[in-house]
Amino acid sequence: MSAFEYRPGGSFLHGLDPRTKLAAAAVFALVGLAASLPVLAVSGILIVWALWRAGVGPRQWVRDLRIFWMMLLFLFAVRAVTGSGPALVQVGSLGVTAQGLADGGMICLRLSIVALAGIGVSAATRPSEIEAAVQALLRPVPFVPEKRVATILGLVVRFLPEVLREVRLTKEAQMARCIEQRKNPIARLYLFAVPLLRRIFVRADRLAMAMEARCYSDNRTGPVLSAGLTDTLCLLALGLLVMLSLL
Amino acid sequence: MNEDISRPEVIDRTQVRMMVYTALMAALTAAGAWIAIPIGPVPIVLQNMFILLAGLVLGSRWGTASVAVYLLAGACGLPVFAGGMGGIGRFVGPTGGYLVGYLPAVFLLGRVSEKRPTVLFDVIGMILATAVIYGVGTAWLHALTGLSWPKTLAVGMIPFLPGDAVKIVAAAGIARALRPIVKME
Repeated sequence: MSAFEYRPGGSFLHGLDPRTKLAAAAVFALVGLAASLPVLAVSGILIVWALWRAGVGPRQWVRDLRIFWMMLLFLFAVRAVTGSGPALVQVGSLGVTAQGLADGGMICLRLSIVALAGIGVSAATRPSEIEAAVQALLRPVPFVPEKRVATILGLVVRFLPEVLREVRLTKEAQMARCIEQRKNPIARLYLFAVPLLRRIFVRADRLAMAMEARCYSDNRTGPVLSAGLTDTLCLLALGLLVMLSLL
Repeated sequence: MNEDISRPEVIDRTQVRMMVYTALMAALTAAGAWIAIPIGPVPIVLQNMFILLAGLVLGSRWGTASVAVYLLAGACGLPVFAGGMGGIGRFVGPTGGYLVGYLPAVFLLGRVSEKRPTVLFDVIGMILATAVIYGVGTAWLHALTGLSWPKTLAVGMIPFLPGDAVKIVAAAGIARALRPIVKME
């Protein structure tokens, strides 16, 4: 199981209302952009603790986010050698400066916080809860049909594993026909994508027909969401974090 | 009387079909982050190609909706962005500009393609859409990392252009093959 998948549990993070979790992810994105080092440090500790309690330990998020960490390492290296001030270490024609190291560390900390907050949402929230929370959060937004958007989001979650399965089958079929030996990249892409998309669109047609046959309507009964005292306290704490970040 | 038990309004056939296609293209875009076709020494990731196909096949309105739902799914924490990541934080990361750029790019592509659905217009639309994606993406990368413009373009655009050219030519052919299957009416 990857860090991105929902894992059942009864942790503090699992117990929160999904709307609170989405709001928290948004607040941490803001904190990651604007906060000072002490606020960033407190936020980081809180997120790592909540993830650990939810069953996503450091080993897991280090492994599953390796592409992200590599990108951060690249950013850190670039900032380290482009900072102002006297060079601490000379690497060829580039000098690593104290200011560059500090800037690189800050940007890595900021981006780590927003990425880990996102993992907290996906690891401790069922897709159906996310769908319901999105519907609830979009309700006040004018000109957005929130029920329809939430339904499409639910369909995306449903389609994703099927698409990946079809991709695997198409690749196997191509290998059986030695298509991967062809030199022309455009022909290879075309021969991969057309049968894949044809099959998937036929399947989508069947699903659309099934929905029509059942008289699909936006007016359906959705899951019930309920926010408790913990959610209120969490939202207050998040508000405090926003204020500290903007100061 | 509870309004939830009032008589439901059934959505017409075209709307239902387009909703399903929209979700499908969003799922394909998400899956595109994991699909890599090895072309020579460099694997080509197909996410951009599915973004372009959303505009070509679904048009400006539903294509943009498909990208918006994809971005919404990612913002909600679902692992749909490159590297299997999710979370609203991706929008403030170095690649956030490219993600946001998908929206105007697909809308523009859809408009151009709707004007005249020929291969020439499709290719022109895709070139414009790619320019919009890189315009927004590199501007954000430049602002976030503080890199100079030549360096930003060197790491954030130039290495990907050959792969994008391949995807544009392939997508033009794929869209032609796909349009008769995607029943819009």
